[in-house]
Amino acid sequence: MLRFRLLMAIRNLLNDKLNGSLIIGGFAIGFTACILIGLFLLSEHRVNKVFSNSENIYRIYDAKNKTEMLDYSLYPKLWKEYPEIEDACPMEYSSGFPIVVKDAELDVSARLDQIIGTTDNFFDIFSVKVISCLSDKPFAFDKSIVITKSVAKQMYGSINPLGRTLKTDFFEGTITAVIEDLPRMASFQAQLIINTDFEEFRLSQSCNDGKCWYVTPHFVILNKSVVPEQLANKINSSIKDISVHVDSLAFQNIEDIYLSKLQMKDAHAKGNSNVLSVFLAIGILILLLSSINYINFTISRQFSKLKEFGIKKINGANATNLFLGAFIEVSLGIIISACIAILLTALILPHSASLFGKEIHFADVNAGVAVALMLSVIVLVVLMNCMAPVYMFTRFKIIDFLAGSSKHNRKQIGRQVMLTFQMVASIILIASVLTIFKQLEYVKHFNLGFNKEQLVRFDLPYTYESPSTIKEEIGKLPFVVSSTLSDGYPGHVKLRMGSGEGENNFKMHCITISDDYLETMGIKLKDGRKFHRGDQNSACIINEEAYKRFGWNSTENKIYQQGRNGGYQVLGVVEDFNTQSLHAGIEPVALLYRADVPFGTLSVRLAPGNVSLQLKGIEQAWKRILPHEPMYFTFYDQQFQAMYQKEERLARSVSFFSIIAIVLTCMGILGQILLVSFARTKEIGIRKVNGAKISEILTLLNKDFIKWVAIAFVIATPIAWFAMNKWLENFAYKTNLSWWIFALAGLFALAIALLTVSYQSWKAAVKNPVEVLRYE
Amino acid sequence: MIQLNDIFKYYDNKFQRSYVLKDFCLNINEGEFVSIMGPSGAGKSTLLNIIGMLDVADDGEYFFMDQPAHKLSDKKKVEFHRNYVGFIFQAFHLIDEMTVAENIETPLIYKGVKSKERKAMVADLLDRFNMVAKKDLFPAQLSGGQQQLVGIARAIISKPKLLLADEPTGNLHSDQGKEIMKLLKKLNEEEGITIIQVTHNEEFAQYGKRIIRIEDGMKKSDLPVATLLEQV
Repeated sequence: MLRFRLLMAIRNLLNDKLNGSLIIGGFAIGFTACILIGLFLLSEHRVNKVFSNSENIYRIYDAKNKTEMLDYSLYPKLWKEYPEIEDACPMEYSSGFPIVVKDAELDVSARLDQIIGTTDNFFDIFSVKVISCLSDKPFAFDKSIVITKSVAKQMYGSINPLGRTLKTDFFEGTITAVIEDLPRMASFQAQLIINTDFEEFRLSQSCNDGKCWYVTPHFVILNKSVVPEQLANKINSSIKDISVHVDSLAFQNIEDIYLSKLQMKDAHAKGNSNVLSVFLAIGILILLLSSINYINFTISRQFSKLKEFGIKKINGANATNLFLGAFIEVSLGIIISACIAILLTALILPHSASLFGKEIHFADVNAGVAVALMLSVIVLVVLMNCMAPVYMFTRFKIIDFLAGSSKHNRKQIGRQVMLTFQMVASIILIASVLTIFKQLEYVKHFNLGFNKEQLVRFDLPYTYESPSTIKEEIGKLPFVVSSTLSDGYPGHVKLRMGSGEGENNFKMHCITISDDYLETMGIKLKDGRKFHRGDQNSACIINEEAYKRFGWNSTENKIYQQGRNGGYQVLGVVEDFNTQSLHAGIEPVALLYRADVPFGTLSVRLAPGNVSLQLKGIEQAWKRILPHEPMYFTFYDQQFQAMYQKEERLARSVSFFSIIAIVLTCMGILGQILLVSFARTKEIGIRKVNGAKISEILTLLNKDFIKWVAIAFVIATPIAWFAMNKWLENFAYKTNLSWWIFALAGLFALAIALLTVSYQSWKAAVKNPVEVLRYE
Repeated sequence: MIQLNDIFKYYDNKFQRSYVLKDFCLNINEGEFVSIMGPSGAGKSTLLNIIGMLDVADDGEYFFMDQPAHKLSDKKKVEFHRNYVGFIFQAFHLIDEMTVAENIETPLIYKGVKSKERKAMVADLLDRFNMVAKKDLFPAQLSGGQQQLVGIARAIISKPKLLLADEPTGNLHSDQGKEIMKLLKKLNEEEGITIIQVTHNEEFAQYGKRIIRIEDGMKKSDLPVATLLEQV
């Protein structure tokens, strides 16, 4: 019986190959998109849940000052005082400021970016696996350094790294343990872990009134039964006895760090919950669109099956028999689609990095949750689709069938609502994609205020005493147009100082520079003069924003009272240039003209030509002067590009999924029109017999659809406008939402509708009316 | 076997009630072969549908094998369709997606007959109708006469007591029609199946034993074929 029904279902599907494969294929594509989005969302929500104890690991932070940097001596006191705290460690995570690490004896080095300063408890709290170790604890002595397996492999290969001495510009220590790499699904990573029990290894200090103390983030394990808010209140009520620096401690679960709305300045990787909502919305939309398509298909199928229903009923089938048959046929198509979708997902998953900006592995998500979600979605879609046959059964009258009439209601409000919904969705998506691309183009071609082309930056070792030597050596190379030294650079300002004016205080971004800075960077001087040799250590140039903030009328005899006794004489004003990404606005900047301070950055403007040859030439010069220092360089344009990578990826993936949704909508509209024109075939035939022209019939059929597009446009425009406005708020520099975006989206939707309608109704209209009417 | 007492069937329009069947009485015994004749719209098909329990009378009583059919539940009606009655239609009403053998098999599936038994019964019937070679063809590949043969085979496979035929020869040309009528006669005589057919064809009506003429929902005449022949 079941086999027979399956056979029938397969035969039915094969019967209508074109439509069937279109619908099943469409649903499979939609479903694939949903699975991908679902996996992405699940993996984003799983960050930091990979630690075995994650639900009990909390970070302590200062709620009032929105900082995680707390007095280093705080955590041992809290731990001792409150039995609710089971374990605790300081954990300062630094990322984004690479340091160069060298072996003291061997000629090996690495540029490491992820550094953690912590104590032995860290390895217990985060269940870190220690591979090899000098003693029973990872940090065997004060000057202990722990490295990960991949760093060990990168630096030492097959040599045993244990006991080797590592040197950096800032500290020197011994490798006492090698650990497994931290799990990928964590908001922090580690390449180098240093022992902050040893004071010299502590990374950060805070100063006030000339008094300085060490600060660090604290991580603790709370007892399962503890309510963190209550504990925080308890601690805050008696905090005065423990610390003078804070009075509003709060706990944040480690699982919440990744998607937290708290805008804390820390190095942890951050997800964007807004972006996740966007993806969730698109995923649901795609699922809805493809389900609507499938339901329409099922309904049209069932209409053509009325005859079969009748015959089967007369031959003794009861409602259960009929429903089972329809159910098997409906779910067979869906299950085939789901299988194709799973296959497609497996194929796409390895390339998911270009879609979501991070590679998704199936292992990253909780497999149980993922499978359960998917199954429930399939069941839901099957149930929704089964409504169609159930609806038909309840309305089916055998007498109508015997009388040979196939009455179906042409004015079906449900179907028109669905059509309008599809139209609304496609208009919103088209408008969104247009806006996103407009914004990206805007950002890409935005004038940064300096010329970022063929500008390359070299990291100089801080211990290097005379950076001007290397500047001059490299400046002698024939393909170097100019070169300059600085400490800090556009993209990374190291020094922020006050404005030096009591009543008008604002933070000034300061970049310490040497000769030829403006020329090399291509920053235009608007007013005043350039630096002369004699200005060293006593003069600066500010940007327009700073000039505006100061509220000056001219730069004459103005002094920036900060940083040194007597301040810096302001010599001129340069055009605004970006020191951060375009997410942030223009900041007031001062370029401080200094002599030989430890400059960390050498910027070089190259002549057009073969870049790799030029770099090789520079490397030779570098090796002559700094034979033991590795050379690391970055191109400015790539650096700024990287700041928008996230946006670009987001834009790309949103448009990718939007295009899928739009295609699904087109298919849906086509399906609707097929149904309508099928239902109106007789009408068309009668009209033609009575002398209607093809063009008149086309107008007649199109008129209805134009009405629905217009309604959809009216509904969609405010929604799209609101959504895009919200999205643009993420940018300090935003393109404007022009009216033509919406007009274009509406026109596009109209074009889709008209094209599909016209094609289909043309086919219906040119049919010979005799043929159409014969079987009625 | 079939007893209709004062059957009414009507449709209410806005201003008047139009009767399809009016005070209709009929008695049919087991083993009879009855032809129903009459002009279009006389109520023949409605009568047949009421007898076949596809339609319900608005008034009156209907006893099928001494059971009050007008009081039967839908569930019981399904039982009736499965076990006691077979239908033949003018438009054949075969399922296009099924092969000949599968079409014939359909009623048995709903009746819950086991697969092996089904196959044997279908093979047996195909053999009797000389259609073994066509069993894997689809309806569209057959001539009209052959399609109606399949229709008859499907109608009798579950060994019904009653066979209802609504213009079985209406879509066939006369040679094929004769074949079909001969087959119906044979089924009636050899297997004792009660047959009620609706027809417009005077010649085919005389294959039955009794002819009922209907006009405007009322019985005009009800005579055995033998008497009719005598009158001629």
